[in-house]
Amino acid sequence: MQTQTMIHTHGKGWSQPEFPDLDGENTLVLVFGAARYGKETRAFGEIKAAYPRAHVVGCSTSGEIRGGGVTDDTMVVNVTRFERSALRTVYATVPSADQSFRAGQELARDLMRDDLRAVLILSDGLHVNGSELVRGLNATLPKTVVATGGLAGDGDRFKDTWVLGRGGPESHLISAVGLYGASVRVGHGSRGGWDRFGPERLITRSSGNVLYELDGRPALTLYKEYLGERAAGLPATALLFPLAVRKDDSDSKTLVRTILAVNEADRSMTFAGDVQQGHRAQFMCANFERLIDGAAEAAVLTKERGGEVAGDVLAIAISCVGRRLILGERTEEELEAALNALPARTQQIGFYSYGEISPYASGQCDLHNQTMTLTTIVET
Amino acid sequence: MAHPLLERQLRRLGIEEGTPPSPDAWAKLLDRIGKAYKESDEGRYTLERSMQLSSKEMRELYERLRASQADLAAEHGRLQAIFASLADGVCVFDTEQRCQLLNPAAERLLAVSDAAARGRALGDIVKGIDIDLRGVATSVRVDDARLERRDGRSFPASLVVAPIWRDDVVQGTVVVIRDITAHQQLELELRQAQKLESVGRLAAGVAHEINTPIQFVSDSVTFVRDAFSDLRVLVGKYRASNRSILDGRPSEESAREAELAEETADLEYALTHVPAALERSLEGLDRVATIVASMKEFAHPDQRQMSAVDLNQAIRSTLTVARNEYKYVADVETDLRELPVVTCHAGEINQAILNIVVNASHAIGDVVGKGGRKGRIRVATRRDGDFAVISISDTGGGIPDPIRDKIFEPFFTTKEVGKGTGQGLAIARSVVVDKHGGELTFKTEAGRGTTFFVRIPIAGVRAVIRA
Repeated sequence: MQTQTMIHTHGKGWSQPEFPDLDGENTLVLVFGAARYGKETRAFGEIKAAYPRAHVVGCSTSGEIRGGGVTDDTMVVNVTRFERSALRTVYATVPSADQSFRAGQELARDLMRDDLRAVLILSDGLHVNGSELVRGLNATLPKTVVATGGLAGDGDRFKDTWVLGRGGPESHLISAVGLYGASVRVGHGSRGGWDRFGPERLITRSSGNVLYELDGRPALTLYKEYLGERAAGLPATALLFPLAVRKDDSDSKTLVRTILAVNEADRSMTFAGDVQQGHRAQFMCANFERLIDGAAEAAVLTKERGGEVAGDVLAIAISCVGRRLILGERTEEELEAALNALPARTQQIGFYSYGEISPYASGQCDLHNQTMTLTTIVET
Repeated sequence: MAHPLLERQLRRLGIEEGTPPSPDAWAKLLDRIGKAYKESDEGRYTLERSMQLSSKEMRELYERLRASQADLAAEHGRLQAIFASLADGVCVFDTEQRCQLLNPAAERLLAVSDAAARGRALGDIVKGIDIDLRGVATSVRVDDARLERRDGRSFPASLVVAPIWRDDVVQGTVVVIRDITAHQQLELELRQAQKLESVGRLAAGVAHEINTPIQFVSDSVTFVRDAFSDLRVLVGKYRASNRSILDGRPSEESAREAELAEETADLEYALTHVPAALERSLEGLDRVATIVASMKEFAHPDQRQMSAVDLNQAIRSTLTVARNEYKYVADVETDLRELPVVTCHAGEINQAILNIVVNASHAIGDVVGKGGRKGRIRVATRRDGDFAVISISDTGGGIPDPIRDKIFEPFFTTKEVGKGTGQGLAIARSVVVDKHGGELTFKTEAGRGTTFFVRIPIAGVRAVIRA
């Protein structure tokens, strides 16, 4: 397996004069770019021309990750050619969010083969219900297949996201790449690094992603009471205070849900993912040091699950836009922390997203918010 | 070793140990350290506030918990008091059919303490409940069990055995025991009262039935008395004539007087008819004796327990005492075939048959009116396997279709006021089905009549009702 990374900066062009000579039927080209590349497609054309036989997939971002750095207004590209593994790319169009479950099922069905090892999913970030997409994937994929990926971003604007299709960038699209064969080894890890506070509570009233009551009390009232003077910054500071959700006492899998909006009229809170009635929830707050440690932990987990490697490693880092907004100028610290924990010959590429997809531990994938999710791919 | 945060910032700003930083790098480092302190302060504020509020919430929760514990304790005490106050015995068993709990009434009824009963199987606590607790998925009622306590004493009881459902899973079984000794006594008295009420209703008819033989017995005895009076005069004349001959002075006059007395006494007639009159008297007295015996049999108080009964004889008695109810409108035919003795409550079966026969006569009466025409009531018995079957047919007008499913309902009647209370068939059904585990069915045809079929288990059974 050979892997190389490059960058295209808007207004300046490519970081290197020539594209790596790695085209082939088993070549994966990952493209993560600023939202503006959805309309300015010349760079895509150049990539397509350079890699006519390769599987070219990608999406828009809220920040492009390359190595230990994050950039805006750029397009980062990784080209990886596999020697002993096969690839297959499929797409699903989702006209409305309520078809997300079906789309997940279709994608998984289209990719299913006995030697399928892993699936990388890149989805529209605004018109797809990530929780339902993941449910659809899980309904069809066997537990032995690792599914990771993320929801495309659009800076902090939440207006237009795109996913690279056969003809170019499209909205309402989901792409999925299947990695096949016994030689491909995929590691994964996902960590938040948030402080929890207050007691764990029962979600006594909710509908979809809208939370109305915790322990029979209005959710927003309770939240503000706990935030005290820090509640004055809501909803702008909502990113600092997500919610940890799990099914019940016996569930060791906690999902982080980011606040998208608060409603003072009915004292409800809207989250970027479902919050189910009957589940348990606990308030969280950002702790910068722990967020950075979380990224490093994700990297350690990924390395452990990927096993020892001597050659090149492709690491796909997908981190929540909320983390970037919180960490600000310290964002790169989490990318460095992650990269430092990965093997020496790691090419790290990725993006800040509107949602991360990864198994919590082992087993089937989940939709996360506010995490750093890492996927490593090596060929043995 | 420096804090990881400081290490990262030194590395990012290119500050190395032993080399003084540039003023710009120094300013940035201080700025980042300052921000880190601020973030740390904010984090501490959130956690401290959270601790305070959580403590407050926990305190409030603890208070609420304490209050609800007190409420629960009060409720528990109340339920325990109710449990202890129940007159019925309540025994609770777990899914392994081991006793978990007895209430005081159960302790008294079964003569076993709660402590001694715990962990024991039902059969070790009391005998006579032939129900496998493992198989109880719905409520089972037994109305006439006979339970035997561990001290050997027994008592009549009604039982309810019910599964304890919780979260759609059977968690155990509850057995509710009621001592029905007093109830049975009351029932006996009530049944007797009902019987006496029937007897009262039948009394006029019975009196009439007795009056007819008494009348001809009286006539015959009067005739015999008058004949005897004449014969006594005649015998006096015979004696005088006979003495004159024995004295050696035979008197023609005496002989003539005797001859005259013979004519006066109409001796030939008397010699012919007095024996017949006495025979008639005996027949009449026999008829009276039969009626009285039937009445006595019909009205005899029932025993608590079922007993071996000659059903055919019971039917004959019932038809005898009821004769006045039907004789003007119907002739009765019987076809009573050989039956083994049947274990039953004879008095109650008599009552049921009487009620059906009276209904039959009323049904025929409605058809024949008072024109002197008569219908027919046919009473037959036969054995059908383990059952004795009694069929009672009438040639009445039949039961109209719209009321066929109502006739066994209590207080349902189509008769005019004063003629029926609507209890007759309801009582018959209760006796046959509930008390004897038998069947009471009917066949009816408009304009042709109705036949009721009473099926009674020959060996007698206990009624078990699954609710």
